[in-house]
Amino acid sequence: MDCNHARLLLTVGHPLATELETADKQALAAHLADCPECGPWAEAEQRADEKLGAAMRDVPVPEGLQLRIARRLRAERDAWWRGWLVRAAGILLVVGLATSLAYAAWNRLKPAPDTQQVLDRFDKLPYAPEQVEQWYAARNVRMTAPPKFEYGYLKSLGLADFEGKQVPYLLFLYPGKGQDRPGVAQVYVLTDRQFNLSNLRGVPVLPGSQQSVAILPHPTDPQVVYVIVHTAETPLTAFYKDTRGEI
Amino acid sequence: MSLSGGSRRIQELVDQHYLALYRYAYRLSGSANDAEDLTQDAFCQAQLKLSQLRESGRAKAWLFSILRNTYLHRVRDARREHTLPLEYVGDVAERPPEPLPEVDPQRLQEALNELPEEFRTPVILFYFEDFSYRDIAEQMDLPMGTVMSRLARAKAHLKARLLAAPAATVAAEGRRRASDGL
Repeated sequence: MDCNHARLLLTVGHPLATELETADKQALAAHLADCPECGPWAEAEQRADEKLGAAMRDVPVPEGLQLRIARRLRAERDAWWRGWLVRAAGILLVVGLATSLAYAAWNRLKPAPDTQQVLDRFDKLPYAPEQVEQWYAARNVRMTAPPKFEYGYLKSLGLADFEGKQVPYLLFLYPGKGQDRPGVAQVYVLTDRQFNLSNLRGVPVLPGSQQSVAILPHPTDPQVVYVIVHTAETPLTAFYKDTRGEI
Repeated sequence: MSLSGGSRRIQELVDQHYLALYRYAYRLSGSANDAEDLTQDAFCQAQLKLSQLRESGRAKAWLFSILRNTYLHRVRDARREHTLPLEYVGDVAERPPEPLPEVDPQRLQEALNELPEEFRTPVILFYFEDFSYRDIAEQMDLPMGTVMSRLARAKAHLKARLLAAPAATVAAEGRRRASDGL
């Protein structure tokens, strides 16, 4: 190893240097031990580095610095949380405002109840099967009304849920006569468009303790069956126009 | 930003590294006030980015890197770094005299301030003895060869300004004055 190479290697002679190969380190050490120029030069360099390093690290640190840093960090954290709260409050405010506006708009779109219509519906009930069918047709519902019922007993009509499907529904109230007590019949109009009616045919009255269920096919239209729930003590015929007749 | 549970960790970092960080800041900026501001700002930045520190063994290098970036931002904003042109930064160290003169702290800082930051940073980190060339290169995002070259020139400059024999000092002083237009 010559002096130029040795001086070059010495420039990377950092205390933490891991860049020199072991072989280079050994060759450098051997050269420094033998060379009357480089050996003292390297020692002088090292002493100069030590002196400069000590001076470089000799920086007086102001008193209370650690405390001031901690205080500043705490203040920054507090400011961050305050900012976060303000942002969260702002978001909540915007969401609340948007929700209120949407609710108000939706509320305005909802129809207002029309009490006059309610009165018309219950005060001016149809009094014949044809009128009942027209009433449903006006609401785009096709139905065939039971023909033999006394429509003077009709108290309500509309659509009702029957095993998960909306079907025409009629409510008759028999006022009672003589010894007969008043009774109620609820008529569900089923068609084969919605139900498989084949297993209902021929089913007799199903008597219950309070209510009975009667299954009545339409006399001429095989696609229509009436399921009638009526008070058990009131015979179904009590609701007919002619109590001696059959529907 | 993640602050939950981070306050204890940042306090540990402060306890362990605030002295070294302040000294580095002082040597970079050359002013006690700036050094304290830089140190506080660096820890505030570290608090915000704490989740980025995955290896606790790299905490010191990470903090130094944050501090240097903070310093560079300030200098860029203030446009106030007045340093020697690179051609006046020497690259060959002359053999120091015997015995070595005492290093005057004021003159050491003046000599550091004369160096452009890209020379000042490696020489400060070198003399702090806590960082290898590889660490310095990573912190400055430079190839190791570049770091070694800058370090050699910065060391030569410091030695010429602070440790050279009187005749050499006068020559170096003359070069500096010429560069300042004096």
